[in-house]
Amino acid sequence: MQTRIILFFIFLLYSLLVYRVYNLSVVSYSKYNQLSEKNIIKTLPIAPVRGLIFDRNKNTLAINELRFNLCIKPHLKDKELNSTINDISQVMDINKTKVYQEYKKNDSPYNNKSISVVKYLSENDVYKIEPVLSLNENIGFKTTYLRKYPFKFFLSNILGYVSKANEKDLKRNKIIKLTQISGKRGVEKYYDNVLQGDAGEKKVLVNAKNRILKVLSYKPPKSHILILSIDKNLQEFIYNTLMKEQKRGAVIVMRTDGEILALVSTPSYDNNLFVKGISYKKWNELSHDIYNPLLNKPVSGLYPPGSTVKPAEALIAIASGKWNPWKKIDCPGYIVIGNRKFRDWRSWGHGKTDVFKAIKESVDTYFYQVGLKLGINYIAKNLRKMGFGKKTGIDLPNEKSGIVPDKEWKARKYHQPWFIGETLNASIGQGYFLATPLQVAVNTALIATGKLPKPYVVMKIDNNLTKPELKEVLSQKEKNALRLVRRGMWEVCNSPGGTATKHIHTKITIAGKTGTAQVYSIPQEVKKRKKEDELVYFHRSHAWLTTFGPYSNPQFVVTVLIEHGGHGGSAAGDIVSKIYNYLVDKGYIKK
Amino acid sequence: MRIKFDILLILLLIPFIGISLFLVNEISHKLFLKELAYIGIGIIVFMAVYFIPIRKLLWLIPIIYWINIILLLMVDLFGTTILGAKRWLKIPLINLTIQPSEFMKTTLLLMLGYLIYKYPPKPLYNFKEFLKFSIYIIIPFLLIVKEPDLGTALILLIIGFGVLFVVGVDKKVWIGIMILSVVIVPVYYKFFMKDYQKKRIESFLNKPSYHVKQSLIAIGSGGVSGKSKNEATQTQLKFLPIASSDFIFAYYVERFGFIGASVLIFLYFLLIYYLLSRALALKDDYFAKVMYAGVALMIFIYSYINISMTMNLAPVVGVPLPLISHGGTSFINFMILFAILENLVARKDFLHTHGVK
Repeated sequence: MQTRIILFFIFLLYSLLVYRVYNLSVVSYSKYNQLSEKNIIKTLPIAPVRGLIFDRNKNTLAINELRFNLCIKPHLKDKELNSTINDISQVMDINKTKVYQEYKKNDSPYNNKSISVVKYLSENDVYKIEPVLSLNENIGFKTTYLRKYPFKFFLSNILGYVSKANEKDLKRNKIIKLTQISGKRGVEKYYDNVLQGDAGEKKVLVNAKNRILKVLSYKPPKSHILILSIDKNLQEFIYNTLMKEQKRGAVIVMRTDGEILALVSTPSYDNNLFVKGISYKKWNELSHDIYNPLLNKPVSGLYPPGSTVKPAEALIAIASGKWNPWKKIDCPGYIVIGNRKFRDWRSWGHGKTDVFKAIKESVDTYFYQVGLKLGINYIAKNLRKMGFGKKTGIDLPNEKSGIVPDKEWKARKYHQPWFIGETLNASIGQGYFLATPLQVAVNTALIATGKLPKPYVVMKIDNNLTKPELKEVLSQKEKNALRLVRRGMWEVCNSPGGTATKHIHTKITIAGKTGTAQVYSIPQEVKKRKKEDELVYFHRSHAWLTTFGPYSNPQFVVTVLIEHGGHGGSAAGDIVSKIYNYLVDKGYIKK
Repeated sequence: MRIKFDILLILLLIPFIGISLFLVNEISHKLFLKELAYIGIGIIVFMAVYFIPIRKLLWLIPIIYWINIILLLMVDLFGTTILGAKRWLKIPLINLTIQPSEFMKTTLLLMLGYLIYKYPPKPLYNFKEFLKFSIYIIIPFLLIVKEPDLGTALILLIIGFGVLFVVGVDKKVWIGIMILSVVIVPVYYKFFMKDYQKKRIESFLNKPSYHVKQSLIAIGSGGVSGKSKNEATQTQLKFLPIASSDFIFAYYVERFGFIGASVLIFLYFLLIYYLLSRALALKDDYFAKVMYAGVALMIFIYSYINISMTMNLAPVVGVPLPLISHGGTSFINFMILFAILENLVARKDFLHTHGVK
């Protein structure tokens, strides 16, 4: 009897086990089968190689050089680590404490990859040390790529650079986790997601110790090429010419549809310095340099536009219907508002002046009267439409929007009322008015063609051409007035008495506008570091010259800003002429 | 003298040994060779035990029992502690560690056989007699609980009382015990259980360990009829830990699926059924009866706990799958037990001529 009870119980309990097996391997079979597959099949991402950058003539501007990182196995005890570092120091020159710190910084229980302690060794270095160091099983070499910019200095403001990715970068893009580098400035930053490329993928069969037994499938990584619209030779020529003459500032050579052939900023810096990590000393030197080599002046530098806004203002005045361009009005050496004198640049004045003469001779008192007639708000509203006071949308980071002052702006910014004198200052591009050289160039393109371009430096991504974007911003009245303004600008460069005529010697006919922008205040940084007598340079006005050509069929805009360059025509006329002649010689401009 | 040999018992063992050799060979050929050596030793030990005149030496059993108890006491006094549990005795000079609680299972079985043989039931034990036998179970139980090794202690308890139940104890006593255990278990958990034991039980209830997870995957992915050797990646690519011993059931199911598992469990049931019916048939040969029933219960408990733990139905305790798990100690232990059974069958004649009474 008892035996039967026991047997019954055993049978019952065993049946429960059978039932459990049934549940697991028959009912939940697919779930567990998937889990078993998940155990053995791993997907490994493969880091793409950063995309190359070329100029419009296929000159390579950014390349990747094969290098090697010396790495040490993770989880080493201090004693073993120190003896390994000692081994390394026997064959190469290293800072032992730095290597130790680098190791400790990256060593954690969660990290199973070996740790790179000496980075970017060249092939030649590795040939020499590898045979010795490979005897130590804790030491290994990993291949890596070092970003290199073969042309130093003159392209840095466009290309920018890459360096080691930080926490924020790692969160931004999954691929950066694989490449560990990210673009920090310039095209490298703006197009970072393109240049990073697409990760490849390897499906592998692994065992429980994560050892790869078999590669099941392989999808190679993909890189994307950037082709800039920049002409490297032109860029280099302009940069070297300016540097030779110790001229600091910005030069923009742009097709009227926005395609940029040269975007020069002087002085500049060697962007290769940043790739491996710049030294603190060098960084300090660069960032505190009073000539601002790190600033991309055409895009991020802000200057009073001075007389370069006069063509746009003439356009606004003519189109307003309240201003007769043909009427010759009296323009003395100054006008008095309240009890303040507002001077013209020529102390004895210009006599009877129509709009053509006003542009040709850059008559300040003429535009004072325009300002008084139309009022600041009307002028400001229209200037904003024409490219001032907002970003041009160029494909480079850190673009500045500048300031077109008006009553509302001042109230918001300073909580102060607007004074009539400020209208006069703004009318000649001074006072609160600030613009980037690129905005001036875009505005000149608008006057030359009637359309507002969106400038760009990247012409092609792989095989996809960038489509120029042209905005219709002008009213019909304004379009009708363009002819008159262009005529005025022609006179600037061609008729006797034009502010630039003496300085222009181009093979084609161009038109333009000079500008001489007063400097009101000098940055504290400069004051602190320079003696009083040396400050003369920093008191000097900024020189502008913005042009388009050929006059009859505008294809190009060339805009030059020379910081503290004095008079626009004399400071920039020569380089502008040389640029147009280059464009003609190289066939960019067809006569 | 009639020498009988229980050939059917041996025939019932062969499938298990065959399955074991097959599985172990697929996991590691080196272990397979080792296993062959164990089996060889097992057979030699079997023969040796088979020829010992056990029935003549029954008087030795109480001595063995008390020596074992003394060893357990010594564990308590001078034992070596490993991972918070004091289970091992270091023998000086030869530097060997032994685990007296492992021997206790066989010793207790022999002791109960001896006692029941000496004081046979007529026909059921009453409460007083039951208590007297219980003392022999409770003493080692408490000593082993104290080590602490709750797993082994409980196995001891179940085998001990299971045997008494098979032999025959008054119904009232069982009902009393059932009520008592319902009261005692929660109290014990609350006040007497060590923290690590509670933690183990809680972690078992909450979520399976890595081992058990992999074991479940192996069993689940076996499907109805299992996978070929190369497709059984859980084991062949080493995701399933200790696949050749504690978790060999998981590999078996990965390989042979639900059908294989059912067959194996049925084989165990068949063996137990055979052993228990033999026990029933032995009538008043109480010593042999106790041994047969005890071995049956031992196989049941070991297999049940082992299979349960591979399927997350019991916490992971180091209990092997009888006759299949790779491991010399367990296999030889069972060989000794089967040798004793064969011995008792063969030398039935001693029962009356050379008995204790």
